[in-house]
Parts: sequence; C-alpha cells; structure tokens
Amino acid sequence: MKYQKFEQHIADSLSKDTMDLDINALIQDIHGQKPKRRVVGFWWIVASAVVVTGGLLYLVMENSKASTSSATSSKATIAQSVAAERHMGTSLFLEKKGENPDALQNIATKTKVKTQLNKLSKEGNNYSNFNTKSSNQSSSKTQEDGKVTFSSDSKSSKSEGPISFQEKIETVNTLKRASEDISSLNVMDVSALHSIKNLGINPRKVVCPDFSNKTKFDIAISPEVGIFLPLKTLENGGSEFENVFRLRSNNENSLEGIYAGIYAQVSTPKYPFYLKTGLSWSKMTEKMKLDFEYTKKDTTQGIISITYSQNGDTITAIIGDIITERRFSGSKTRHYQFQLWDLPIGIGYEQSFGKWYGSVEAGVHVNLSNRTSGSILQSDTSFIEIGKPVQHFKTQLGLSYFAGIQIGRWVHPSGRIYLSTRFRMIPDAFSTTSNTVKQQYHFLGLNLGYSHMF
Amino acid sequence: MHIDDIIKGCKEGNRKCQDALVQKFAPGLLSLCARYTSDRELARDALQECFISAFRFIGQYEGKGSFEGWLRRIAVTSSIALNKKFKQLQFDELTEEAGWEKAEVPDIYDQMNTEDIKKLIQKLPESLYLVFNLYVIEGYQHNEIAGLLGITESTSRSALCKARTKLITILEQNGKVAIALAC
Repeated sequence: MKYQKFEQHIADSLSKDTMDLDINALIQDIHGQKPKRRVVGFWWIVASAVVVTGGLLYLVMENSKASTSSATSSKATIAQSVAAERHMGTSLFLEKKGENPDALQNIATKTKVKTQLNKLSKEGNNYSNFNTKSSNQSSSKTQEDGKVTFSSDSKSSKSEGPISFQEKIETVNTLKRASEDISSLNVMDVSALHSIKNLGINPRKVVCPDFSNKTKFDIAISPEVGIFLPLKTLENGGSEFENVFRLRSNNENSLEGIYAGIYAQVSTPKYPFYLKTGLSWSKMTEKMKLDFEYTKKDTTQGIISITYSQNGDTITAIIGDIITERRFSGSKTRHYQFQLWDLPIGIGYEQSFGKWYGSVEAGVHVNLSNRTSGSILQSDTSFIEIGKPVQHFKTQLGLSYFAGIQIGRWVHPSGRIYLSTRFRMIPDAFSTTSNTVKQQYHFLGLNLGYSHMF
Repeated sequence: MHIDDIIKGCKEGNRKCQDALVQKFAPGLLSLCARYTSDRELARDALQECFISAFRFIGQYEGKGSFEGWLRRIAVTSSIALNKKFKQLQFDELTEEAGWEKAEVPDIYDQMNTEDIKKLIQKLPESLYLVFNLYVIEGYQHNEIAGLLGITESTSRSALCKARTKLITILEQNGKVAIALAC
C-alpha cells in the first residue's frame, strides 16, 4: 500500500473517533450550573450573624444618638435662652405669636432682669440712692401704653459705654419690677404655662446638658487580609494505597494560603475585654509534581515473517502476535484547592500603651463550607478530578479553634491598624472516610487589618 | 432535530438546541481534544471551552462550509491554548525530504484500529505530532498552521515532511521488531 493511502486511513479513522463522556455533566458545566450543595443550617447561621451584628450596631447607634441628641438639646436650650434674650423684648415678636402677652412679659422681664443684673454687677452699688419717684412714673407710663416695649434691652446689653442718667433710672425700675415679677411667679396662672407650651417650649421635654459618657458599648468594624501557612499531616488509612500515600507525602506541597475576613467587635469602656464575630474566607493550594515511568506491552496480530521459495513461485507469510513494548515517562504537575468560609466568634483582652495597643484573643471558627477543586493523585501515574467518583474531602469541617495576638496603632481618632498572628487548630480531618489518606491541617497566619470605631 | 435547526436555535440562544448540539458533537470533539492535550481531564476542559466559545460566536457562522469543521477548529484552538507544552515547542527548520512519497506500507496496516493508530502517531516528537495532526487529520493548510502555531509556512511544511519520514521509520522499526520477535 502506498504511504498516502495509509495516511488517508489514519485521517479517516481518527476523524471519526469518539470518546465516551458524561454529557449531562458537561452541559451543566457549560451552562455554569454546578449541582447545588445544600448546607444544612448554613443560611440560618448567616442570618443569625447578620441579625446579631445589626442588633449590636443599632444598639450602639441608639446610644450614640441619645448622647448626641442630649448634647443637641442642651445646645438648643442655650440657643433658645439666648434667642429669648435677644428677641423676646420686641413687641413685634409678641404680636406675631398672638399669645398671652402677660406671660411673655414675665419671661421677658426675667430676661431683662438677668441682663440688667449683669450690668449692675459691673457698676457696683452706686445706684442705690436713685429717686424712686421718677422710676414709678416711668413704670406707670409703660403700663399705660398697653404694650411691652423692651426694645432697648439688647442695645443696652451690648452697649459698653458710660451709662446715662436715664439708663440708671431704668435700671432701678427694672430691679423693682423684677422683685415684683419674682413675687408674682409664686402665683403664676396655669394659663401662663400653657402659653409657654404653645410656644414650643415644653417644660417636660427640656433636657439639661449632660456631659457624662453614657455609651454602653463601643463597636468596631475590622476588615483584614493575610496569609497563612497550612501545617499538613497525612496519615495512611489503607495498605493497598501505600504508593499513593508515599508519593503524596514526599511530593505534595502546601502553598501559602490567603485569607480575608471582616469582623464586628463589641467592647465596653469599663472593661478591657471585647467580643468579635464576622465572616472569614481562606484559600489554600496543594501542589504536586509527579515524575512517572512505566512500560506498556501491546500485542497485535501481524505479519511476522515472509519467506520466498528459491525459484520465487511461492511466498509464505507467517502471521503471528506482534508484541510492542513501550516505555512511558514524563512529569505532571497538578494542583488542588480548598476554599473555606467560616464564622469566627472570639473573645479578647486589650491593653493600651499610648497610641499603641496590644491584645490577645481566642475563640472558635464555625465552618460554613469547605469547597475543593482541582486534581489529586489517584495512582502511581495518574491524577483524578476531586470529587469524582468519590467525595475526597468534607464539605463542612465543623468547629475549629483559634488563638492569637494582635499589635496595633491608632492612626486617627476613630481608626487603627493592626498586625495579628493567629494559630488555628482544626480537629476534624479534611478527608472523608472514602479517602484512604487522612488529611489534616492547622493554620498559622499573619494578618493585617484596619479597625474603624463607631 | 436537524443540524440546521440546532444551529438556528443556538443562534437564538435556545437552551435545548445548545444541549442538542453538545450531545451531537461532544463525543467526537472529546476525542479530538484528547489528541491535543496531555490527559483526559484537560481534554474535557478544552471541550467545555470549545462549546462556550462556539455558543458565543455561533452568530459568526454563516453556513459556509461544514459546521462540524467549524466546531472542530474551535476545539483545536481551545485544546492548543490549554496545553501549555505546545507553547514551548521548538520547531527546527529542516530540509524537506520527499522520500516518503514513494514509501510502501505493508497492507496489514490498513486494518490498524484507531487506538493503535493513536499510539503510532504519538511516537512522533511533539512538534511533528502537532503539525501532522493539524495537516493530515484536521485538514489545515500550512498557512493556517503557521498562523495558529506562530511559525512560518516553510517550518510547517518541513515539520510535516519530517513527521511523515519519522512515521515511516517507526513503521519500518515495527516491522523489524516484529520479525525479531517471530524469530
């Protein structure tokens, strides 16, 4: 046969060749619909964490709001007093409000008394001998007009120049009126109180200034990232897989893991302890290089000998087994990854050193999910995709424990950065019972974070 | 479902048609991908990439030429892209040898099954194996191979020539081994 014909045979055979595969799985992968793994209680745990964190945030926000509002109310009270001092003396103000002018007059008078008393304190007691008659006249004139006219108050209170005789008379009058007003306070009509209420000043709601720190909790949100060193131990579970175990022990290396987390931290100003919880994600990779070499024998039927007779009229072909021995050698490198989602809950003790602080903490990680992907060694010469045909690793790892120390520094009044080192002990093996090699990890990590205080 | 309907449906993004397309071509394309990748797992990844690309660019298929051929070309490209070894291949400029044209192959090789053929051509060095596959089995032209692999057309020609010569040498060696074993 000509070589071209042989080549055509190759092309025809290979172009029509097919291989079996799980088409449904392929379709799912193509459409990105990996089978859903329902984790029992997963969403309940996440929802609880969100609710707890939200509740704490609300509590703290309410506390801080109360402090702020009390401060604001105090400011408002002061502002109202000042405003009253400045404006209550104007008749226009009274007319506009249309309320009981008598009650307002009392308030305005008191205000004026305050102002004038201040002035008097500057002047001393030099005015005690003034003529009371003239003051009475002035007073009665004012009452006859039927209007309350204190327009000169603000001016007089601002004025720093020498006091005129008229002003001195007025001061004495004022003092007299003040004594009358004070005596009238005891018999003030209830309607006067209603008038105050209508002005928007509810005596029951007046909040006095309070400068004490009543906040019960401090809360901080801390995002952090880090790397960790997975400390792996492998244990052989079955003698028939001794080779796989040996190869994995010798050649499988854990690469550095990466970590990210966000924490909500609650503490009280009274005690140096804090409680923290959040959500953390970790990823680590195992790398394995496999050098393999093996020999394979194939037996096919073929012409093993052709003999010609001496005169050339007979050709004898002997067909028999053709044994082909082939040696395969090569090198493969494969990886597989773990991705862990955890709910950490911890308690810590913190000590400040000026701008610096240090803390120690410990707690538990509730593993929410453990996802694996990649290829793992199956035999001396081949790898297999994780999860096929058996589940190699657990999808949840249960509880694990952590402890660590943290050193940080305040970078502004409500924020600080920190560096922490944490050791995490995971008592459960990652491998399932169907995996003959028992695989266990502990993590030693170094994290950098920022903590924002609210 | 007829292939034209399937293609039309895929162009409209019809999920059922896409699934039908996968069911129709996946087994053949997996075999193709396996020839260009180092293992079955990688071949499956390449196949998945192939279908994702096909669904994405099926609007560009204008019905000129065989659809299967179009799909196979996507599969080849996906497989070569996934096989990192191919990116490091060294192609030597070789003097063309035309001796293969006159070579005689024993008729018994006409009955060689697919697995044996695969094993036979896998004995070729990787660079020659790749060009041989592309030219002989997939029907690529040298300019297309050159474009795909980033080599010159003359390199592709000489690689193919070398592959054929090497294949004949292997066949001859097989013959000698067979005779030696029989003795």
